[in-house]
Amino acid sequence: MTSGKPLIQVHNVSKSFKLLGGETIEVLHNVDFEILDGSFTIIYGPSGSGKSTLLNAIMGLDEPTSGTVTYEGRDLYEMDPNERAYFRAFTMGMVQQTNNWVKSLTVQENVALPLHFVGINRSAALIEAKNSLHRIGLDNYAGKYPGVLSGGEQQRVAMARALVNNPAYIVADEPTGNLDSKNSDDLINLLRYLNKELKRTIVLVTHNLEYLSIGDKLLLIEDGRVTEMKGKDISTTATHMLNDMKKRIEGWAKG
Amino acid sequence: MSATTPRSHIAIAMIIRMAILNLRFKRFRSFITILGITIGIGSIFLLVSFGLGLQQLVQSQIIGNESINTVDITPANSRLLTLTSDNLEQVRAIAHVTDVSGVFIGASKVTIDGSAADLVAYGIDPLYMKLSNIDLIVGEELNQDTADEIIVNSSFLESAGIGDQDSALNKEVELALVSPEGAEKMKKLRIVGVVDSGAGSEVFVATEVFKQAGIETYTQAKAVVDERDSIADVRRSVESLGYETTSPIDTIDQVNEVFRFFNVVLIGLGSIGMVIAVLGMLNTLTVSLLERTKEIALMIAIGARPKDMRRLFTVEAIILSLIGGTIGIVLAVLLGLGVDLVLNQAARDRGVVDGFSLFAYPPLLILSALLAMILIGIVVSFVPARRAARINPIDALRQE
Repeated sequence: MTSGKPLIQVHNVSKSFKLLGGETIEVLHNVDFEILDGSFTIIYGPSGSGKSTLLNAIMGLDEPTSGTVTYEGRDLYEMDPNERAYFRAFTMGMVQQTNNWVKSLTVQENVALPLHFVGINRSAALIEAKNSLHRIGLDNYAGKYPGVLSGGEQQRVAMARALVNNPAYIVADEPTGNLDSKNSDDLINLLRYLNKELKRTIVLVTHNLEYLSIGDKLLLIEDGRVTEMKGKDISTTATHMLNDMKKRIEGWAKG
Repeated sequence: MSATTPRSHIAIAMIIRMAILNLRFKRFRSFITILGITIGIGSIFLLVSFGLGLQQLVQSQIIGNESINTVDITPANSRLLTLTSDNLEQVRAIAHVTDVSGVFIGASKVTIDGSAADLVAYGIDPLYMKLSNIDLIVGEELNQDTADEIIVNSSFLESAGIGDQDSALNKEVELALVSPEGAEKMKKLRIVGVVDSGAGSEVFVATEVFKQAGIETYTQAKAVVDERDSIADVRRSVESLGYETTSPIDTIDQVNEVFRFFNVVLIGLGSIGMVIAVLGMLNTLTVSLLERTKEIALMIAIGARPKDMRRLFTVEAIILSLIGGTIGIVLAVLLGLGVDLVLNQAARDRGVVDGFSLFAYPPLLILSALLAMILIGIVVSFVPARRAARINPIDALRQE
């Protein structure tokens, strides 16, 4: 359950890019929404819909062309870059569909990185990294190098890295993309646990229609415009979209 | 965990650790880069230590063990201005002058074993003997009080037909000096020592011998100065009394002038290797930056400050240049010691007694070489490090 206080406020955000030819394309159009403290928000949208741009904006990675993104009332892009770096290292945890690593460091050292970036000493950071790996069931991976891990293993290690700082706010961009259904369900259940029991605020981007209904709020993004849904509307929409997809698949099968 | 944060950013020790781990991860590349720097700095260091060593060798050959903190004083025009005991006291009173010694130099006739020779006689005191680096081969120093002793040089004995220097000791000679009035003053003296100075025949007697002959004005004098930096002041003061001065420093300065140029040429030659080494390092850092764009972007995305990434590259460059520099200096020193060893052995085989060193390694040279390595690391990494700091974190999230 949410505390009802807005944690993230996205207000009138637009983002446009200048192409090489001089043409300008607008990827986000006047996007407006709130993410409440302790809520579970799902973002659904096809690729090219402006989803990544929106995510970057709410992670403090990419400044919008206009509009504001605030965290606990503070404009992320009014902070100085160092303060924003601290926000990303300490307040937020992120998981991507494909994850990058510092290849010269072990899995454990990679997981410990966000802690190093906020100045926690090496031994304490390594212990915490070990604990975080343990929570995901990856104790045996600590001493390995990330380069030798499979896509699914990397995804789970990335989860351990995202959680190592015990962040209040977790952004997961298609974290189940490389996982089989068992590991996917485990990961989604972990996110739900973090949300329900530890009151973490979760933003989950997914292509998996089955997961649409697990959130408190669904943000549908299409052509840079966001439609917001809550409560019963979500399951109605999810069911509708699932049926829609079934029909299409049946259609392909026939013809 | 989240409650306490002693520092809000990454510790420099952690950056250094990450830099070392990355250099170790790219072992072969790091090794090649360090090798280049080793050769570059090693060759400069070897050449410069050779230049400095040669300079010291030349200086010591010119000066010998004569004290260089001295000023030689001569009257500019001996008819107008003389150099008497009173004048020496004037010089002694000048600040920074610790001692003064006057010398008489005069034409003389010396008779030994019945045969007479015209030669130069010096009236000296013990200080002058020491400062002028006149070393006894046999015998002892002059007794200044009795004024009845004489020291001769080996050329004198040769021309007198005395082969055995020991047998010359205690022989009696007759010295005739010409007084200012033109009269010849004769004195019987006993040989107490033999020295190896000068090409022609020379004899040395106590200053008292000249004084007894009625000679009161010194030919020249030496003033001892307490420290090298005061020599110029002392010379000015002495010159204001009307005398002319010279100093061993003049020669040293000329030698140093030549070597300043020589050393610059050596550094220039060595720098060719260094330039190549620096380019190699720049290449390594640039390739590393391109390879690690995603890695850097990721670190910024998960909370590294851009300046931490700049520091990471600068630290990597400093580590490369310091390791290469240290190995280069050690190898250059070893090579120099080896060359010295071989040359000294060769010289000994040809009968040279004194050992010498062609290379010099003043601590300041080593220190400044290491500081230069740090500076080179910072300068070379400047552009790659700045580019690292400007990497956009969303590059890490972009999917291929």
